Amino acid sequence: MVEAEQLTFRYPGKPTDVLTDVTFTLRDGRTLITGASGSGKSTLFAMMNRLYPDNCDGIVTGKLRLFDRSYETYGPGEVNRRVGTVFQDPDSQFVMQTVEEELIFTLENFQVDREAMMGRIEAMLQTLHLSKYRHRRIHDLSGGEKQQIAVACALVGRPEWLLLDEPLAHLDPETAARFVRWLDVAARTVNVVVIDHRPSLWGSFFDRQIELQTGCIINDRPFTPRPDYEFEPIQMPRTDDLLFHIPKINRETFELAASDLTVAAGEVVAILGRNGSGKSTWLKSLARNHRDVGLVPQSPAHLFITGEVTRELAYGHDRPIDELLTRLGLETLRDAHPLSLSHGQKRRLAIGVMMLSGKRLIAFDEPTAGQDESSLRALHQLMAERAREGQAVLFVTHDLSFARTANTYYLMRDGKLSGPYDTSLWDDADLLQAHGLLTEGTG
Amino acid sequence: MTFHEMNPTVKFVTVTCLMFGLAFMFNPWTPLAVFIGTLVLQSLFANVSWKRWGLFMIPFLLTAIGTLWTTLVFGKASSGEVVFVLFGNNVTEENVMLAVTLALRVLAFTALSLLFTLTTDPKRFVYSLMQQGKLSPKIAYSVFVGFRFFPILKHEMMQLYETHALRGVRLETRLDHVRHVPKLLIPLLAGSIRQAERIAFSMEARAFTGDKRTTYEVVPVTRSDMLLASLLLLLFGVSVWIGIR
Amino acid sequence: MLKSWKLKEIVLLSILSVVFAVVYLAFVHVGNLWAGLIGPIAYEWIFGIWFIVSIIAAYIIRKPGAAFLSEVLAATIEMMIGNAIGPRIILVGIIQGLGAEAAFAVTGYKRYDLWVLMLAGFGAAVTSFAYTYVMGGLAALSPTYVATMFALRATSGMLIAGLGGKILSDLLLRTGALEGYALARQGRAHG
Repeated sequence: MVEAEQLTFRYPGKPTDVLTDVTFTLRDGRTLITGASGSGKSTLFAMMNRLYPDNCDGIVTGKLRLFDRSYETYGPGEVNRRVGTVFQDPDSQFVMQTVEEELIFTLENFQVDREAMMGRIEAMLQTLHLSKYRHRRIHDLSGGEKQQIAVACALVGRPEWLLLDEPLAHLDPETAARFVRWLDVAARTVNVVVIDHRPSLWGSFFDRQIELQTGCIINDRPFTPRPDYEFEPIQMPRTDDLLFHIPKINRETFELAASDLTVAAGEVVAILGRNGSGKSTWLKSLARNHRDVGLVPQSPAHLFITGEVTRELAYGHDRPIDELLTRLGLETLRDAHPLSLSHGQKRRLAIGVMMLSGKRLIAFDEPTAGQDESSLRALHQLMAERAREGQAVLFVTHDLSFARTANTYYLMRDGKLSGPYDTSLWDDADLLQAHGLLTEGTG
Repeated sequence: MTFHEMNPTVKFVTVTCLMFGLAFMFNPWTPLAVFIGTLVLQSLFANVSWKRWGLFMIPFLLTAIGTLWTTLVFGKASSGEVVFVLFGNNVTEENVMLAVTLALRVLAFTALSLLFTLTTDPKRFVYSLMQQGKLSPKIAYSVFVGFRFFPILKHEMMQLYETHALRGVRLETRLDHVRHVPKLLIPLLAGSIRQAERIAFSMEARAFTGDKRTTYEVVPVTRSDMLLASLLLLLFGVSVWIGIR
Repeated sequence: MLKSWKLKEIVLLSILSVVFAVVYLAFVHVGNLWAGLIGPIAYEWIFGIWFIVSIIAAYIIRKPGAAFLSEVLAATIEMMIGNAIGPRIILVGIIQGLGAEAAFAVTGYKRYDLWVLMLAGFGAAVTSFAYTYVMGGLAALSPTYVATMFALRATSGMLIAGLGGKILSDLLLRTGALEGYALARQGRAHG
């Protein structure tokens, strides 16, 4: 399907190439493309469905053939009839309100006859076991369900290839495993290309694996299942205890039980549970009720109020900020807009904000979603540093590999918090299973 | 035959014509007749909850009152007998008639607008604009994207309020929230621009080009559309006649 | 006209207007009561808020039709979300959009400096005021009052929409979100 020869790609106005001298051929089957953020895998992906270079005015040299024709010879939408695409963010890949309308939108683009549409939609949903969602509002579906609908929309056009860009990034491990098993059946008749930097979640889904590093292919070989990244627990001496009470919360569809949390300075606590178990609600309540808790949201950008890094750090107090700027490695970005920073820099800035406002417990909401290995290692290091300096660290996560960095655990299920547990938790299969934390192939 | 089933583009054009026509009528009877007539037609050919109608009407009633007294106080000086003096302005009979006319015009506009809004499914309106109004699908589907995005953005704004409150921004009263809006604009816009690009890409990835497509939801123009349109135009004709008689 | 447009630019127009629709909601309730108390002039000094989308859109995308299209999209979406004045708002959008667009057309779509943006705000104020004059029957009011209304609206259009739109867009440029749009490309070409 794809033949690339000495393919090079550069964004306009950028000094370096994102892809350099890439040569490979994609044959039928299932291929995984891995690589860290910035390795060029997303650019390559966008070349394969012809979103690039037109959409970003990128500069291409070398050869790229899609289905035995050079990429420039395709008109708008032409390749997309043969290549279906599923993107990473479940919230920004739909146009219409309901599942059925979304499928109709796709079929209209494919110029399918009006009379044939309902039959095709019915058959598609039935094959994918998604019939019950047909009249649901997309907005009300969970992340995992939305990704399944995205696959249905890609497949309903009967493509020869299916491309998926980190489709698991926002799913918890149980949901991710279920999605992979489901996709294994759903994608039986198409060829699949997936971009992901965490191959472990995919079990033995693939035939082949291509690895990119700074724009070059460094590996192209048959796929072998790999264990996930490993993290060492952060062990620091613990000092004085902090006690937090989190009151009961009653919502129409959900109830959060009251709970107490004792955390020592230097301790690293992980709160584990399924998506929707109440972890985030609990975390917000913790931060709202206790002034010495600093919350770093899943997207740290939400914290920022001002238009400059220095003003952000100085907001709401008059302590000096220069030393901290250097320690956070942000001194060259003093005047930059906080929202223009990379994800890792945003996170460091957020932590800086928490340190200066004298928070004693730093709480992270899902800090690992969509992060590559080096970003996870950096996060691990940051947390260890906080603990060493006598702050308590807490994070809510469904990332079981990263959870190993903690030394104390709490579990959340249906709004009820249980714990604390120590690292022996990892040997209690029943307990993990009951909280949706154990899936085939992990644990 | 109801206004709910009426072709939205035909309905839109008719209602707009009536409103433009009203703008050139300077007697109180025409807008009054249109107002009442619209309500009559609405009760005959539409199934609208009057409670909802009333709720929507309240703010415009206030606007009508505002218009009434502004026209009295700041009305153009005119010859004629002074009926009374308001804040130092001599109010003549002509002034009073004009003030009442303009206030009634606000009410008539609102009644016509509500007849459209409360009986029109916005989605069907956009489909119909594509089919009868030759609106480009690129624009029409961008409108759908925006519509879908509304709750997502509202949620995003709430999250920003929440995290900003945790940082010590004072957000207790409604006014505090309004005052904080400028600070939310940049993060909201920056996030949305990135999302707009992703959505556009996913549309193109599903072969949307804005050119040749088939249509599932056909919105026809029928004889009853023409009949309802004629009824509205007739109402206007009669109201004009009542006014100038 | 749409041939030279990328889909992402049109979707951007739509999403920009949704952001402002969400933000307007915070103001609407405050506004209505105010209008009942002091009459139609209540809105004049903030009228520029209604033009700001078209100025931001034209400044960021720099293509013929940006100012006009964004106003029309904004109005249609607002109607879909449930603005009670429904059909009228689309009309208002078209008329305002034409006024703003005229300013960019006059300069041949080559200049996007502050003065042109303020001129666009002024243009939108002129056409929208003409509409209000006819539909609201302003001929009945004393010329001084009408002139005050217009002066307020024009100032608001130039300051809130023109100047405000430029400030907001330049801030947005600093966040890096506009990579891939004309405003960022222009900046690179000069810098």
